[in-house]
Amino acid sequence: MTETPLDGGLMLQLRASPHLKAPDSTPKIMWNVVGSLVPVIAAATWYFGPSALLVIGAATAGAVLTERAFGQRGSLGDGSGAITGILLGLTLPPGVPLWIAFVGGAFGIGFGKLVFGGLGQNIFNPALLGRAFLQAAFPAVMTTWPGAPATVARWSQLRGDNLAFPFTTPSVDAVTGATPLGLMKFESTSTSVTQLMIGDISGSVGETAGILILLCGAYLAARNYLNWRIPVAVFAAVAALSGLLYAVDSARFASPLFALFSGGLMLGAVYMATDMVTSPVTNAGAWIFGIGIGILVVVIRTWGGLPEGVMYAILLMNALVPFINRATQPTPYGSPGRAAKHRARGAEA
Amino acid sequence: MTEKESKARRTFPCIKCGHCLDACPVFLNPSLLGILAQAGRFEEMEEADLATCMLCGCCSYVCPSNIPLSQMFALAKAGAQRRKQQAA
Repeated sequence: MTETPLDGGLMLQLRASPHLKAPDSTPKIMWNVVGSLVPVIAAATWYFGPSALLVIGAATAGAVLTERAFGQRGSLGDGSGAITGILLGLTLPPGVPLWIAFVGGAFGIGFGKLVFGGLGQNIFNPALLGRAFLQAAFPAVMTTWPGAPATVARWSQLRGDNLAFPFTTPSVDAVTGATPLGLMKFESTSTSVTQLMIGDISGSVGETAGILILLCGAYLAARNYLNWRIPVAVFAAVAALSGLLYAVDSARFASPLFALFSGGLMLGAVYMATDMVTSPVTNAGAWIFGIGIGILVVVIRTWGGLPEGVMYAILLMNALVPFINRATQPTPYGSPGRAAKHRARGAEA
Repeated sequence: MTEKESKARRTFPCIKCGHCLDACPVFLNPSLLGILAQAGRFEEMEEADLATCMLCGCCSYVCPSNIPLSQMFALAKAGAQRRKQQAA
């Protein structure tokens, strides 16, 4: 584009069409996602007290500072680093030491995104890669779930050794309580679905308030900031497969509603799987991607060693995205493939 | 056009949101074509049915990263035409 001065000092801009632009922009999408996470963070603070804010803050600081230090200049403004940090914080147990949350955020951005070339180039969801790293490096801390104290102290009391000094073993003196999925897997006791939907349960900081996450996701889907097909496909696959297992043996397997609202499924399906960069570009691909995640979640939860499998399910499907994209390329207008499709549709009618 | 509409905007990397695939009236993959164009892989663009593109500009309009897709496609088409004439 060039600016050409005419007689009288009038400046004309020369550009190729189209001259109008849709009002959406990449930073606007990213900051809207951050904004839609505010109610989820508020709910996390309600259930887990100051620990929730500290953990989310530490993970975000790790992500943002790494982006600032090693990323391209000005890449903080697009908001994608902040999203990674907040989402990572929401997937951590409330009692995790803050330095571990910080390291997770730094690893997620550094090795999950920047080594691939920054925004738009990464294969795996950076927040989940950071969490997978923490799960491998600090398995004990990542599976200690402090229970919520019923007293007024929930507003002032930390949920674990949040302030442990780096590289020391955190002292575990907090009240611990297993997550609903852990109870289901190791003690075969179910938790009431109402409790799961509202979120007053033990679990990661931001994954417990299922209904609230759904509402925030609905807002993003209505503004076309996430592809609604991915969460819908995940929910449908999880409901169908766990419903089938429940129908076979309702004593051994969880009910479909329990499967949908327990663990990180809501947060994962709505916020992690729909990360635009690491999900397929085609709508047909979005269905395949979502169904694949749903099947893997149920398979890992039912037959795997861990009680929860949303993180690994999404990371595994992230690795398949290039193949899904290749297999679901649209058929251009006028090509023999589209003509055949058209005829087939005409034959049905 | 108002001053606000004509303001130059920053271009961001492609975030693979897929909005251009939804917008394309001839069912191309402008996201892939744009990545190929930025990498200078023009022969591969022709294999990806660049000739079907009619430069309507829908993809450029919806692109949240403000990538000049149809502008690059116009250049690539001109280049393809030139190569064809030289070969003939």
